[in-house]
Amino acid sequence: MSNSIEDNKPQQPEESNQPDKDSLLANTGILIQLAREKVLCPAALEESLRITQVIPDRKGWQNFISRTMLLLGTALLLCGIIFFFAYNWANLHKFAKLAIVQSTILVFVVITMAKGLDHIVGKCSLLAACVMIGPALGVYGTIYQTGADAYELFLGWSLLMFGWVAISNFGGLWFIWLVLVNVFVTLYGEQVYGYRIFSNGALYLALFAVNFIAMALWEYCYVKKVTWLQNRFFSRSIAIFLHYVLVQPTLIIIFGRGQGVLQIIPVIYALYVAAIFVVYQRQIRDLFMLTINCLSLIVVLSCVFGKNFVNNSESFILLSLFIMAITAMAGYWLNKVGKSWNN
Amino acid sequence: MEQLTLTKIAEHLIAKELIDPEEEQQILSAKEAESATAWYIYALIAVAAWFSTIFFLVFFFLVMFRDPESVAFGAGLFMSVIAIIVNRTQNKDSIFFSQVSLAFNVAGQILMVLGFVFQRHEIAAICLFVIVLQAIMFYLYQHPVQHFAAPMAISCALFFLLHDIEGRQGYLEGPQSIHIVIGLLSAATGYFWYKESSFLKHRLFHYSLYGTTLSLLVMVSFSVFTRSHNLEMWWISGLILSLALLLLEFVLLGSLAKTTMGISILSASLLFCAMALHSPGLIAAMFTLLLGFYRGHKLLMLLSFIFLGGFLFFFYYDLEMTLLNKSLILMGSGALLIILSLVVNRTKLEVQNA
Repeated sequence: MSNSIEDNKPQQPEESNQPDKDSLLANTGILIQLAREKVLCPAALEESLRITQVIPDRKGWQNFISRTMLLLGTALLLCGIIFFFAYNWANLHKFAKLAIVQSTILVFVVITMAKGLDHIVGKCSLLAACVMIGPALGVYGTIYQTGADAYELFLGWSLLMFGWVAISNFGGLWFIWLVLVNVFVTLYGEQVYGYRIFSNGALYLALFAVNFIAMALWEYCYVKKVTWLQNRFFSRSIAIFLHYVLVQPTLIIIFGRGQGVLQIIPVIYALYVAAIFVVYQRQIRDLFMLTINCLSLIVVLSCVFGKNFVNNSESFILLSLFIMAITAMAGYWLNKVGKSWNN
Repeated sequence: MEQLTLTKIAEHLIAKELIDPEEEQQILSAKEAESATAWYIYALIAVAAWFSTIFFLVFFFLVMFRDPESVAFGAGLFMSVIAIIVNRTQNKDSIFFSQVSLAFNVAGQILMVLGFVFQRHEIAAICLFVIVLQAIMFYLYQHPVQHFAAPMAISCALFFLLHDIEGRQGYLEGPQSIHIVIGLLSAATGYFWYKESSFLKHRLFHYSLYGTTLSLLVMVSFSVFTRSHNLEMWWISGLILSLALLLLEFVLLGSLAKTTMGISILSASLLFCAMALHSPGLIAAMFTLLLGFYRGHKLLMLLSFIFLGGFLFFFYYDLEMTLLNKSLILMGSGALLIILSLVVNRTKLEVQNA
């Protein structure tokens, strides 16, 4: 997944504005382009793909077969272990149940300590240990019938894993922690205040606040070049969720069914969209963020248009043309921005 | 992937007499076609195009169709002709016209099919019409969405056509025509991926091929959901796909097929096919996974892994055993695969040491 149009450039030698043709690296894209231009015949393309090892050699096949079998074998073995305990679970003594879950956490922590947090195995083990905290709390709650609400489980889970998350230097773990916090906030709102928390907009505001702070901090670290937070996937995922959190109540307002603090959400949405346009065009160049912004604007503007202008069957054609027009404008503008960055 | 320069590749190809020395300069001046539009912008446009098409259809149904049965086909044909004209005359960078033409094309085809359904009520005639329409639009309308969707629409129409013919003849042991479609799709998938280099001059080739591959994987997915609908002879598809898988491995192994290693691989595959004979999805996913790795297509490999995971889940789910026995089989097969993986690794070391 490319970060921006800049990533789609063919690889060229560093520190060179005019690429030295003799050292231009071959990649699959260039070779396929040469075949399309009929410079390379099918046999020549096949040979080129073979020597660049896009078409694997014997060693490549052995690696592939070995890794695929290892991956499938591990997955099947783990599933088998889970099924085995699931089958015998009811007959196990409560201490055995707790011991199984907690020793699993312990095993993962030991692996993390042995491999270190810089190693991928260490990071994955820490992630697994964090994930296992939830089932451990669930088992504890079931055995001792604590009567805790579901949100308390997620609160405890996110609090207990926070220490490990803080020292992990691992973006994926922070992201999982954020997901748990979101689940906690949603369940807390729903279980403590009931469904009116959706209709009066308070839950949307709370989710927006949590995720907006997370995204701002994430992007701050990205700008400050914190190495383990350079992956754009997570901040993009948070941005998509933020759009969802804001667009849904905005649509409720547009169709005239809003009440309470819900009515200020369209204002927050407008500010958020404007901020995204400024930040991701000027501070952090990310065409994906701008595209998502455009998509959410298209949805909202189409609904505004539909609400105000579609009152009879003839006007559906206007809505169709309106969507086409604003999408074309968005596409044209996004391409223009991408090209200007490329140049 | 080993990073070689274009110069080295050109020299290698000249030495192998695959290009003339004077063509070297053309290779060195190559530049990858810059993707003017990122994939997510295309996705944005595609989503919007579909939505605008829906409103187009609503408009046509509500306003123009006082008498839909006589108007639908003509309106659809008119919209499709406009779509083709715009598609063939527009500037390729024009996102607006590309979108308009796509919306017209989709709406036009739906209306034409509906118009045909209003006029003729026989399933066979409708399926034949869909197949011919898709073949014509595949040729006339050059767009990724059309080229991706056409193989899927043709596969579905072919299935219903054969199903209808089979119904008229009287079912042998339930409807089995799906196996013919799966056989054709597996042959097409295998052949076109294997011969990919020969077809790359067609700009939209990959879209059609992904459409064909996805059709195959979706068709075999019915093996998971249709066991209670008389479609029980899935071993036929299993057998066809086993032959395709073994043939592919035989071709890929080449001269190695007769060595100990080649015979071991083919034997292991034969065992796998025998175990999965009633779950053709597993064999199909393995087949596309091998093709994906062979051609270096990560997207195809990802697609295959997703389907493989799903089919594996249903394979174990459908086993008529207790949870305890299932867990033992899962652990046993997992351990066996891990051991085999270590054996393959060991073989690799021996090869390197030799």
